[in-house]
Amino acid sequence: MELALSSAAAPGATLAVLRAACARRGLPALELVAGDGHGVGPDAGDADAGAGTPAAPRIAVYRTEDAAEALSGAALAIAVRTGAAIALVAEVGDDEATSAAILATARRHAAAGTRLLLTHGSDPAAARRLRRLAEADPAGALGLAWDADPEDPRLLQHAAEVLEAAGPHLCHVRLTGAGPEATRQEGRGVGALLRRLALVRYDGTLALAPSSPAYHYIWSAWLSRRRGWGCGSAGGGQTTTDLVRLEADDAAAGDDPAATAAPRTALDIRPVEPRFRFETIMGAYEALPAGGILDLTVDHDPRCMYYTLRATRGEAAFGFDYLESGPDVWRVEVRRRA
Amino acid sequence: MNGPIELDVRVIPPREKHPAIFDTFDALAPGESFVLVNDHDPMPLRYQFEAEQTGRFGWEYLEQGPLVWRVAISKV
Repeated sequence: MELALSSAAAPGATLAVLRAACARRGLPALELVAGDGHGVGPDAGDADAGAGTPAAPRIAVYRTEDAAEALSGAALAIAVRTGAAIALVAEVGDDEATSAAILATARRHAAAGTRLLLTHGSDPAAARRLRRLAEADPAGALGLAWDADPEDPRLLQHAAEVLEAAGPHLCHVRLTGAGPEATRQEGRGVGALLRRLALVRYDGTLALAPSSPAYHYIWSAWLSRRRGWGCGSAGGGQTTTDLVRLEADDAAAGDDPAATAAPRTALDIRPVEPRFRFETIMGAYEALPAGGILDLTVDHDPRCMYYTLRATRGEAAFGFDYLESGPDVWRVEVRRRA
Repeated sequence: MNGPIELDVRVIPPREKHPAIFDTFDALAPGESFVLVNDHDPMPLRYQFEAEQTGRFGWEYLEQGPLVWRVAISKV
């Protein structure tokens, strides 16, 4: 599976800016939405849009809601020029003439070494209907694309059925609300979807797209940041120092004279990007004096942290007590003994 | 659908990452492996595997950053 960035995350960005953002995030491909600022289109000067390199990620999909455009020679020319598959996002009729036109276009793409995709959402019936159309071509020229929206409850309920329905024709998945919005999508089936895609050995692309233009600001920050929050990056806005605050151990005062003096560091790791969490937590732990306490708030069970401390510091070196155990928030008190 | 079993956890909300990883591992037949893709070194996960799946897994780095880490995790 190959991750792609959707231009919908930064609709005003040029192709060069999108490619630079992909390179910063380690994303090898792009999904371009027709009409965005990337400059690729039926009559645009997109001569530099061709085959990608590691430094310039390839264009995997060109997405349009215009059926006339998608089924035209102009879209085929875009596909040939850029190597992108053309994904049509529109309700298409299942009358004979429409089906024939779609399959004829799909065959022209196949002959040119490109692909035409029809898009369905998380409704298994819609995916089955497109699958039947795709199977009408014995060579399998027509592919399917899945708009997977975690805010649609059917993703959680019917992902297995949709995947089964699309079968080997599935070439592209578009996940809305991914990237910097991921924590908003907890409990909506994203983890299960990725596990299912892994187990069926899905080898297509998966595009990360915003759930709404309201999130363009956080996407823009996410895409322009090479180093994340919590690592002391300059200009990153939020740094470790903002997240960690030293507190007197008021709660223990009076009950346990020994604990009164214990320096206590509170760290809420939830706003920190996952890839910087480990070093942030270990940094806060290492900064504790012997006897000091790290009061850690996390959005998942931090037992990997416990195992890491046990393996790297030894069981006698620390205490690890759960103050709160989910389902949304976990709080542990990590006491540094030595 | 001819790819490797590849679980890209960069896309998964933090709370669902580890359950998705262990569910994928549980679904493997002995001798099978999956490729875990992540945006940081999943070392804490390795310690969790060592504690909870002692002697039952293999761990081989295929790519080690700076942006992407790939680890082949196999079931013994």
